[in-house]
Amino acid sequence: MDIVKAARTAAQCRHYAMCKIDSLGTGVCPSGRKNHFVSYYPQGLMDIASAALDRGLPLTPGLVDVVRECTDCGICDLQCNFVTGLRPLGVIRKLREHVEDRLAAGERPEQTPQDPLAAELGEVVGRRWVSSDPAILTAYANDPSPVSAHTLPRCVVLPADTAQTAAAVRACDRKGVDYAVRGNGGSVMGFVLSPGVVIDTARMRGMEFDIPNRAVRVGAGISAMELQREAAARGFRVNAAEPSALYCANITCSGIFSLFSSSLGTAADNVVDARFVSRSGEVFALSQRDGPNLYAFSREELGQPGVCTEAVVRLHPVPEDEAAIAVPFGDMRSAMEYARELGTRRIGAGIGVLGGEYLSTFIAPTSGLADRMRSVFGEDLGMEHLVLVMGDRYHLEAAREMAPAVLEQELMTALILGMPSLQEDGFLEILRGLEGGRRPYEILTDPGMLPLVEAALDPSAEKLASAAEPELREAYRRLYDRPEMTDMLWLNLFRIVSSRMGRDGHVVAFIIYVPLDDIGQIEEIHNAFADICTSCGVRGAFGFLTPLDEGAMGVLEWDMYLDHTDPAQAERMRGAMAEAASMIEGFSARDGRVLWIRWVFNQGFSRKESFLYHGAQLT
Amino acid sequence: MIDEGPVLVTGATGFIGGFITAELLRRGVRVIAPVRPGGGRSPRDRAAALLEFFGLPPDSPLEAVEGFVDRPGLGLARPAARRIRNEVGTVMHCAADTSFAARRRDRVHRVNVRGLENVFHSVGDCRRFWHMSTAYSVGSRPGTYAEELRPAREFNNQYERSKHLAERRITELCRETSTRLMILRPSVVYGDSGTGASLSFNALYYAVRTLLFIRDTMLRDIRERGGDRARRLGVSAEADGRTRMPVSLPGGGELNVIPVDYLVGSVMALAEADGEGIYHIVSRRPSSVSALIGYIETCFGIYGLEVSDDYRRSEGGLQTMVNGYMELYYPYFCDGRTFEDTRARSVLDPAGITCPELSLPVFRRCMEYAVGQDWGAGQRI
Repeated sequence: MDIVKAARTAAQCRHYAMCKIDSLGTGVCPSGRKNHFVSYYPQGLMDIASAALDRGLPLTPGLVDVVRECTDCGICDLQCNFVTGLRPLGVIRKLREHVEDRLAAGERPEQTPQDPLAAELGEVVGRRWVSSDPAILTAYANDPSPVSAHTLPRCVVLPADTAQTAAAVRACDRKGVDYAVRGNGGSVMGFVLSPGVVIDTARMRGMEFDIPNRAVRVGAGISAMELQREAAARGFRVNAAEPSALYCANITCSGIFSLFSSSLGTAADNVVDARFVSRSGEVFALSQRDGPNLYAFSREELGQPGVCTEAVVRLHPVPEDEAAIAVPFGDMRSAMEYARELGTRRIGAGIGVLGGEYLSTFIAPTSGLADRMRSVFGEDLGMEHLVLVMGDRYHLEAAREMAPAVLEQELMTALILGMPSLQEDGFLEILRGLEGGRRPYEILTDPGMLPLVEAALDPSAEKLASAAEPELREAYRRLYDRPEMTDMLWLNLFRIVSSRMGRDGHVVAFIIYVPLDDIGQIEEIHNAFADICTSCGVRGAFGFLTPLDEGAMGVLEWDMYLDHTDPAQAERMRGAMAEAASMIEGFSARDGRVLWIRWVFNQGFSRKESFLYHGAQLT
Repeated sequence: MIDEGPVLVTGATGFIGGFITAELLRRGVRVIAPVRPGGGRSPRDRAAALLEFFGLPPDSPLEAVEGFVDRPGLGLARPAARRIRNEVGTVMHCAADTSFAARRRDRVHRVNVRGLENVFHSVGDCRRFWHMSTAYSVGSRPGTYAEELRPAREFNNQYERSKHLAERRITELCRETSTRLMILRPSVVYGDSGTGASLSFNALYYAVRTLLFIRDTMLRDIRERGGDRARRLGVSAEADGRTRMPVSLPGGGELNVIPVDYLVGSVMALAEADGEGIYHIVSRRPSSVSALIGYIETCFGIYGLEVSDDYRRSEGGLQTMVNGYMELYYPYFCDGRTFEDTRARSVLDPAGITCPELSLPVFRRCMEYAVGQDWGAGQRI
């Protein structure tokens, strides 16, 4: 890999942070796990490489350390390729070569001048856990959001517990220095940048299960994936969203919603208690009677309630016979009506309406295959939307009875592992030619078709792996030999493929709470988004919808995409975002139940009833 | 009456339009064809491919202009629009969307009805309008249909409905402008009975294609993977490759199919005779599902296919595919409609034009051609 390609690849990192968790059961970056600063993880190294190889970075001890601490294990290459198609290892090697060449040429690492604030914070957390080294800070200076600007912090501090966090906050408060809190998960929306101090909660890695009370105490440095995996090992689940998101930070931002929110709720529903450090450095708990009332919701932009350093959240038992089915539909309205009906009848542990294109993107392991599959589910098979239903056998029996057609797990496995043959061997064309009043998916999902589908596609891990880059094929084969990699329930529980939606560009997600008694309005919102994309020259698509609160409301995600390294696309996206904001507020003015998640931001500990039905609050 | 032209032929890169264009060119008639760019090819490239397919010289008098039947004015550039308006006196309208898919309803209507209007209005002083319709525009009710335009309300699919509406609309337009109208209503058209050549492989071909796909898939499973899936579907293979595929097919009614060479010969004869009104171009010796089953067994070694009135009740993946096919094509394979062709025969009989029967050799020739062309995948027009 040459230096130009390395710099270009490095700039493509979209901060989805799948390299910071053991997303594939193949381990996690040993250097990152040991050193905790994001700068030591592949994500940070990509940012540092982008800066060093493209614009130049001073040779500092931090720069030397991050490259020499990398063990060259290659875990990140498969992890990143799996979701984004990128391969960080070559970039990191190029960065190391660049640093070693400078050292060999006689250049000496230059220590940055001592920052008094960093020194004071070092007294609190230990010198190792504070840095003002420009290379280290570079990994905290940007994100792919089109509305954020490169902002190099003055220093980064990694407290180990609540007391250290409180002391760090007080130090910033005393000196009047701005700070941002970051969970060290993904950073994609420009909220964790500061010219002052970045408080990184990555070291707060406590996790204590309290099975009798069906609760788990989780530190601010624990990711959703780690928490879910440990909960699953004990026969439970937590309501968790993106796997790399830090659980406490995720609640703080907007409350956690997932496909399981249809039964588990969102926001305060799953929180037993939480501990915070206030803006002035005082410690308080959510359960404290004389503390701030974080359960209340106010439709206004509020700052963070404080730094959430730990939370106690609910554990939900998982029946052994739990599984998933997908129910395909030819149009959005029918899919939403079905999902709403399931919600109203309290059927399903988890429910989500997905777009056909979304599904293709999720299940295709490579960008090339995803491109070829993009039209397969929607255009070819006529499956414009599908409803994913998860639950025990009683739930699924009821869901099947209500469904016009069902894509069962075995068929989904065959489609995923046989994907390369779906277009090539004529099977799809045969199905397409049978379309009349019934769509091709209705024939495909007939239970008797499974042997024919399997015989036609000859699904296997090896076949699917053949779509990957040659040197990664064996790794992909081993990966897809594992049954969970095609298991709809597992994939949604751990959500390791949802980051693939950003494979062809950074995602700008619009999340809106919508009433489900007016699906016509949701269609209008959908069409308005599509019109904005067309007029602004931006790519976009329906993301998902999950019913909430017995089908009364739903959480809708609509996504727009851009190459965040292209200034022209960023400019167009800013225009689209402005138009979308105006459009959403227009719908809210017409129907107060339409609520943009912007208004819930920083109020993630509030009761869902207080924001879903804020129009009914006493004034 | 076919003069030197130019004749405006729509759908010239399609199946029927392609064969008719080739015949007009062979007769020295100049043809102007509005052609869409498609498959990364320009209209001119597509026209050149058409000439090559039919073995016609590259300097044949075929002028392809970029055009789209579903756009007003055919979306023609101004010079082409002017030439068509000023020079064309005869239109052979073959462009159509033949999709049976319910979700393509709007597109089918746009092409088959609105497109017809666009074509008509793009020609100025049009003296003759020859409209390629279908015998099935008469409606879905069983019975005997004369060569006339009668109201109909029930149809098997959107394609039939759109062709019926198109007939009514073009009749109205031609009456208003005193244009001489000829409506041609062929039954199901397959390839050339003499050569097997075709440009389209749906309808009759699709049944065979589906069965061959299943046969080949099952044989691969048996020979390379132990045959578990074939066993689950009740499929077995003999040592010589003959394959037993237990599926039921509907019987009853008749299958009215004609080869494209008969259609083209009929159109030319009716045109020479300056025909006017509606003509059924159909077979007087329809085939049957039972006959086709025999042909398939003889040609492709597939046996176990049975005729049963209860075919829908049979289960399994093979039957699902067959039932899916029959949902679309049952009205044509087991047709309760018959089509009088007295008017057409009054012209065709004196010209010595008769419809070849779908015999085993003809069936074999056409299907072997289709297989050789990989069901159209190898054709680039």
